[in-house]
Amino acid sequence: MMIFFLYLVLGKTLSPYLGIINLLLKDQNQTEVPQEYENIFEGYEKEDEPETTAENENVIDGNSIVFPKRGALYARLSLPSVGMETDVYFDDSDAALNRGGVGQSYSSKIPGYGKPILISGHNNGKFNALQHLKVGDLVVITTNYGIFEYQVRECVVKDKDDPTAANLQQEKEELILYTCYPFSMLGLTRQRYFVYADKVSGPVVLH
Amino acid sequence: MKKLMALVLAVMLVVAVLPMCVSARTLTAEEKALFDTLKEHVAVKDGEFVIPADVIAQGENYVASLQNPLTPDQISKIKAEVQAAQAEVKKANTGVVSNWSESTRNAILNHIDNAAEAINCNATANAKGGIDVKDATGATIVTNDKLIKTTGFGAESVAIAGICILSALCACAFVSKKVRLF
Repeated sequence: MMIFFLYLVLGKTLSPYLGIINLLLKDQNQTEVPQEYENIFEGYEKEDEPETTAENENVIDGNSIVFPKRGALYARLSLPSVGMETDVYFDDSDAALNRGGVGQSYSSKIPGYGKPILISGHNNGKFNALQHLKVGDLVVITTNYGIFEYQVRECVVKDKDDPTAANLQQEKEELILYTCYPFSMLGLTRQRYFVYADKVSGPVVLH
Repeated sequence: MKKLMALVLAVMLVVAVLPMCVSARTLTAEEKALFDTLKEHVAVKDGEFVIPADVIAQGENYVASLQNPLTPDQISKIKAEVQAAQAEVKKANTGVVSNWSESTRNAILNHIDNAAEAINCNATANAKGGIDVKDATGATIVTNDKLIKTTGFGAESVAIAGICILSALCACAFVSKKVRLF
């Protein structure tokens, strides 16, 4: 009983260390990404704008876009309101996330394709800045074929197995950013901090 | 479910082209039709079995990154193997992967691997009970995995935390005079 009482009292102090233990015991079978990561990001300049369709200058022909391979560095993500900027890799395995940037789920589409975009990052890395985002703030993703802006709609904590956390089947270009929660927790956590943002500007890719 | 995911992954892998060069193209009508085949529901006694959309999305992304479209022969072979795998699921008459017999699983994996061979790739069972599809270099192209990943501290932070913990323990031991350094 004393031990249980001490655990309740010291739980918050012990949890970081328990998280580390969980991290060491987690499944090590991670998706392998190519050893030679490809970097196709060159930035976006107005004069390098891809071919647009005759009907709409804001619609890009999908055949003029170089679609990134798995693991490739293909974009830059920035949070202007908190002064954060980082690389975006087209993979969210441990190997990709440990490269210092953030990783996009390979099961989601890249910007401009009208489908959800799911991006994750370490809570002690670049995505520690997510805790400072507020509703209405902008998230900017710069690719070789355009600049996309998304406005934060909601910031919420959910369980990592919550089936409603990310719906990649919806026909809407919603940006979903997430990281482990609490932000100060070491190792594995059950919760994730989700930021949902809606597209407010950027080209549409015809595909 | 995982087997079916692996099935889809394998089919998509088979559909994928070997060249790893980044392509600049959208999916052709034939490729889109092939992926539509993957999205078809398989009727079984306990409902319907359908390949998870995120798994199909991985395949679409991979094919979109290929330099050349799939040839009619490749599409034809992949479709045949996919339909054969779907027939195995239908024969098992259940969408619950854990209820599949060893022979059913082996047959499905075999069809997936045959499909992968069409594009010089291969499919193998993974530790998670699913199937990984890998290209000629051994890199995993498609796999079944959870959508929400682990984004806790990275390896460097764990090392730093470990050092801090050990240092704290040493300091405590020193203070408690259990360890005499002098």
